[in-house]
Amino acid sequence: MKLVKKLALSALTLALLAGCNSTPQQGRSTQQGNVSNTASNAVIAKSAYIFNDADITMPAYFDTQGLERCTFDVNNETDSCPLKKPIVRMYFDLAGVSGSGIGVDAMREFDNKNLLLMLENQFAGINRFRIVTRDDDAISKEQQLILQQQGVKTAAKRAEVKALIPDFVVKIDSLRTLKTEGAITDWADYTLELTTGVINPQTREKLSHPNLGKIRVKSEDIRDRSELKFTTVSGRYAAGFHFDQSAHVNAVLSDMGSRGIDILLTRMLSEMPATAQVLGIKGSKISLDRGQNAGVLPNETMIVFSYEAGFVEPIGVANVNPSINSAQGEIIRWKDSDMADDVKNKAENGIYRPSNGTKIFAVSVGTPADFLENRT
Amino acid sequence: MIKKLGLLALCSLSAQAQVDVLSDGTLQTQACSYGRGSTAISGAKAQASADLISFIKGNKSLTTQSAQQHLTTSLDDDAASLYEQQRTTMMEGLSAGAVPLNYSTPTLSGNDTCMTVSLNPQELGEPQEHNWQQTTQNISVTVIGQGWKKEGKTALTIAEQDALQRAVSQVMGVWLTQQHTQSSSMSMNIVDGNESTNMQELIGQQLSSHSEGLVKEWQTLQTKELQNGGVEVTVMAVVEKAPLIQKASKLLSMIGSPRVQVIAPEPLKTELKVWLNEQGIEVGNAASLVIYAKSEVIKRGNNRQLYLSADVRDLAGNIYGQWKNDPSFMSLPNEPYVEKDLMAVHLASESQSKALHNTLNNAFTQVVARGGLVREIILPSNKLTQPEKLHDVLSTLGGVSDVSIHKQQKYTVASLRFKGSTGELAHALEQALMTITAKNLSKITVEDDFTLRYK
Repeated sequence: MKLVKKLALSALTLALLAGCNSTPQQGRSTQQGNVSNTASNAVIAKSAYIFNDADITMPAYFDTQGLERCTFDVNNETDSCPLKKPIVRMYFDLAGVSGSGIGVDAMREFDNKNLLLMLENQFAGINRFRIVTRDDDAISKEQQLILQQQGVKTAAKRAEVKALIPDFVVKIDSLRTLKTEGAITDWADYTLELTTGVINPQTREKLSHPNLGKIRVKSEDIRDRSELKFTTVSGRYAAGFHFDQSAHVNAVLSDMGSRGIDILLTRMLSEMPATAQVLGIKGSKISLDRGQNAGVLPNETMIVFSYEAGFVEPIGVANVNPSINSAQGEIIRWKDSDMADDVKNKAENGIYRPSNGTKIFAVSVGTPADFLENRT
Repeated sequence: MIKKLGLLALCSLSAQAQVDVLSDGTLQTQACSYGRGSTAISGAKAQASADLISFIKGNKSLTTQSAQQHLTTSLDDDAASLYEQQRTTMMEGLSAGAVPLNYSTPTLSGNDTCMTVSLNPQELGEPQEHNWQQTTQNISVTVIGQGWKKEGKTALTIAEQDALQRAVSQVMGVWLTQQHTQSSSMSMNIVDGNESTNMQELIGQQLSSHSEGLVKEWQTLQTKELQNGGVEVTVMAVVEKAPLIQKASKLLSMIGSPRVQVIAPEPLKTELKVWLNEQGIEVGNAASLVIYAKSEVIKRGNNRQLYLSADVRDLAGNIYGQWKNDPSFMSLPNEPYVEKDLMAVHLASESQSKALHNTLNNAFTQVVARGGLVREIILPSNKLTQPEKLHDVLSTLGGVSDVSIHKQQKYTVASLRFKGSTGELAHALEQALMTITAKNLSKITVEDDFTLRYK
């Protein structure tokens, strides 16, 4: 409110000034910004229970496609169905570390295979993509066990089913850097930078969406600086953090990678929110037509909005829990608007089913408030 | 009557799922089924039809009860009597799934998918008997045949024969196309010299010589004169399916099972032999066709994949078919016996084994299409009294084609294709070569399925 007042005041002043001064001022629509290289942090949704009226606004990337054209057959879904998820294969690429210096050799021997598998697991859980795993060893081991335990015929029959063909490749590119002061008592300062590209493997096009930006993780985000302190004697390790041993360095880098993936996940959930259509409202309870199948997560904070004639109008915020095909939620706070009052009144005495061209949808705000606590 | 129905409707409403009777007699109910998509929709449909059946069935006991005059209903007279007439039809039809029900578009309700299903007795019309089309035994086709006067036969006779052969060939084609869904070997292309022909024609040709036994009846629709005294006839012929299929199958099985020799490193050799035996293909050393097979284990990360290839050759070295497996089929961890395991799985796989079978089948049919297996006849050159006639004599032998002759030191070697067994060829040669060879020519000896030798 303060801001509004201020703005109104300055607008008034400007108007007055403009009235006095006949020569128009050259406006500026840009300003200078600082490029920051501080560590990235996760942005997550507020719980629906702590929303206030002004918070009930539309998040980006909502989608108002219904399920009318869906076949609900996961392998044979039409392109116009919002439940169709792109099939992706994931890559975690580490740029090679070259050169020499304190601790560089140890950093070079970093194995990213397990980070990749972690990435696959975490991404699979949010159900935005269908992921073709690159865990060949587990697959072939399993095939061998089936061969041993069920016999050749069963193994051959199972093998007739081919792996999914990826529509896209999701590649995480990363850069590792190490900074030291060069003093006798020093600390290692690692930085890991991650960017994500979604590539169409046929056309080689890098897609613009989802745009996850750049994620920067610093070793001080995951370790206390004192843990990374070390002492050197004539350039050789003497005490403290084992900057020269790959196992120790990898432990730090893995933690950093893991944190990076967590941040990546939260950004993905904001970039690709889950939208579902509201089938009915009964009191403050809402019934949604999609659930886990559309990537709705437990305790999802969702903005309920009406969609009519191309305009969206938020009518409330709900806390939603999914089942497989549908979801149930409760509107925790209704927006202070006529539209919301209207819907609220209709829903008070029985089930209100939107009709006559009005559709009501719910879109997730981002990563559920308790996600980082429970899932990462 | 109206009142009775009214009662029925009301009773059923309370007893079962809600079925509404609309004013025009339409019965309408809504049913839901858990889930999404076609399974849920058909579940909801089935549930609704079941509700409708039980609703209609439920009426039966009630109609026999005395009329309750004080009840009123909105059903009109026509609808009620129509309903009564159609009741049995509806019940039978509903349980058989043959009554046209009207379905609403599915709606979602929580985890369920719901459908509103209605049945309007007026849309039923007269009860109809369903004539299920039986599998036709005879197929009638209209074909055009052409003929020119030849060897004492009139142009018309030849044209008619041509037409009938085409009729058989056409029906054959249809049958083979149907078979094609089971085995792609049936319509593969066979390269015969420069001409490309295919299995349909091949079998059609072989069978059409017996067209008289296969065409049940025929009728000339139109006759047209062609240039040079030719005749073109349009014939409608009825071809019997059963004997045709019988003959074609016999021919196919003859083509499909010659004896083969397997040349491959172990353990592939044993695996292949076992597989071939399972497929009904005879394996032996003295065979006229050879399967050369190779296997290679390829490294894929920590795992291994298997490349297999096999080609079918005759003893002269002609390649009739080649098969390669799909190595991506399975990869296994690198452990001892990985090759053997992979091999067993590849050969046990239906798709791979079918592809191999098809390749072999194609190869065998190609042998037939090209005019039989290649044989070599070795003659001492000095015992040929009329060497210039050798080519002609061999070419005129029944079943012989692609004759070529070359010299090999003191011997003349004739290479030819023969449709039939080596014994038959030896017998035919003895008779034919008598006129152009010296009297002291030895008896012919059959060295193997490939080589026949005179001394």
